[in-house]
Amino acid sequence: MFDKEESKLTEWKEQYDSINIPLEKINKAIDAGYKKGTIPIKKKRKTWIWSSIAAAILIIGFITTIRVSPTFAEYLSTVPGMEKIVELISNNKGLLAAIDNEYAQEIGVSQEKNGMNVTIDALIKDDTGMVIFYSIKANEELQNFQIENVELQTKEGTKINYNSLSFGNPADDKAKTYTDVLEYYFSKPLKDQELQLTIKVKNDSKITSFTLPITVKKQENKSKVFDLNKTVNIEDQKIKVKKVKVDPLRIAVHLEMDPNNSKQILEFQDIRLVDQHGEAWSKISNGITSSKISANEQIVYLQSNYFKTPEELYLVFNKIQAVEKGDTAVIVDTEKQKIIQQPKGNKLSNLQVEGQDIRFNLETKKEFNYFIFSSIKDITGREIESDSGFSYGFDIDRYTQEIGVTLANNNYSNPIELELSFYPSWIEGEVKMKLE
Amino acid sequence: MEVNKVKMAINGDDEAFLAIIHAHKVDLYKTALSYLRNQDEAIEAIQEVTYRAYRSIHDLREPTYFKTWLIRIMINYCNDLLKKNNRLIFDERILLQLGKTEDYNYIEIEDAMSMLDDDQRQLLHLKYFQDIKIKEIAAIWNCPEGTVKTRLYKALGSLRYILEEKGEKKNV
Repeated sequence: MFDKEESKLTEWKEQYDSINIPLEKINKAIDAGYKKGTIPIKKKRKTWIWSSIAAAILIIGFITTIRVSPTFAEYLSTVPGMEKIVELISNNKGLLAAIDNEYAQEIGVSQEKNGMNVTIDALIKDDTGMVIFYSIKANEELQNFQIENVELQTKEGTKINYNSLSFGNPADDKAKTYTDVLEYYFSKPLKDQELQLTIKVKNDSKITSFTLPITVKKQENKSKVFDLNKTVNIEDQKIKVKKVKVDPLRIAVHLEMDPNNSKQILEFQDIRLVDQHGEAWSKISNGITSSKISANEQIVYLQSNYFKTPEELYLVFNKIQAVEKGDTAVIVDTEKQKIIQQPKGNKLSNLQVEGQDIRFNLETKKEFNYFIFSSIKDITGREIESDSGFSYGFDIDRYTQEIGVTLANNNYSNPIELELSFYPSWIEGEVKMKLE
Repeated sequence: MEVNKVKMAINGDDEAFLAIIHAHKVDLYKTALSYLRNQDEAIEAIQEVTYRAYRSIHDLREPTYFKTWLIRIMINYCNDLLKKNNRLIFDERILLQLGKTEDYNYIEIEDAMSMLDDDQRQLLHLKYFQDIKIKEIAAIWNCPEGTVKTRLYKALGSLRYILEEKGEKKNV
């Protein structure tokens, strides 16, 4: 009945018989895994396998009014689709400034297939990365529409390697158009000028692949680098600002925490650049917000002020989310409905387990717009998939939120560990470092 | 013979544990590679799966099914990893699977497999890639053999549908 499929599967298996097996590497990996297993669980430091992955926050929302300069307004009227693009990046003044300074390159290539038309409208490129604006127009309303995959290649079809990639997916189904930004960041400047971009979309469970050529113009852009290597002390935690690098697309602030700090730094909540007039360039809020280099080293990305030449420029931060180093996870026994471990202060309370839902109350004292958990593991170290997290404020006077996660299944052994990526406890100080 | 080693490992004999992991390392690697399509990721997967197996081997109830148990830990790990790739942000190292596919001449079947749901993919993988018997799969899934067969036909049917649909597109 399925002879053809079965023979294909067999053939596939047989092809694997002739692959090269890197035995030495495999043996090393087994050794490392075994050694990790023999460390008693309590002492084991949690290793976050996505340590190098960039953290991202997706903000869904629209800003209706955007202030633009006269040149910008004129530019907008000449480039079709540009208004939509501006709306997309309205919360990133660095990218808006790049467009305002006519640094963006108009592309305007499109391809039509299966009743859909994909257009690459424009791009902004510098030595660190490339931001590509594209739009999709369909003849009929899009159904369960999803961006399956995107790939950037040279004209010859060689895949271009990147460090990080960020793109959105439609929140609204019943539309005929979709506009999005792809943000690519590379480890070394992209030299190729003749490129092609493949976008695979799924519409009504049918996959269509578009491939569009892009010609990138050469543009001068020199990074401004401030080598600081200055260490500051906030509540006895030593933080070294290694350097600040300003490029058209973003500012990278490279920070290193002293390994002997008693606290784990989670989030530089208000880090920003400030000029002599008090104008601030704050963190990127939609897209790639930071890269973790290691447990003690990270790069935070700010909106770029590349196109401004301030007389004075300072790096400023005051408020940092931090927890004691032993408290970077919340440990919970779902069977006994008990919180076994949580950071000092007992801000989490009222644990409730219903089916796959785990709920807590979280006392925040102030407004707190972070979802605190990242990965979840059980006692055996097995990752537990979580379909969704939820959080809503229910007592606005005391700022208590109800938060929780929904696990994908109940197939785990207690207790479970919920790793913290944010937490409402802070260290505070006044850091103002002169750059210019 | 292996059953004895597995029993010893369940009872906490580390040497026996290492021996049985080494006995199945090539199978583990092939499974990881077929899911992740990236050598570095596959090696990392072996480390993590060794760790998870070591931590949970005392829960293994049926020593004869050790290999299937181990392969399933690997498949779960790979699925977790692949799901993460569906997030908005990708990391190059993890995503190399997308770029590396050129190197293989079995892209077609693996692409099709990746479009199946997790259970169907696992079933086809266990049956055809790892040659696990239906009887054993039934025991592991705690269901009658007939049910496994029905699911197997369904999975093959889905695979056919995906392969044919793709073929059509190529001809357009």
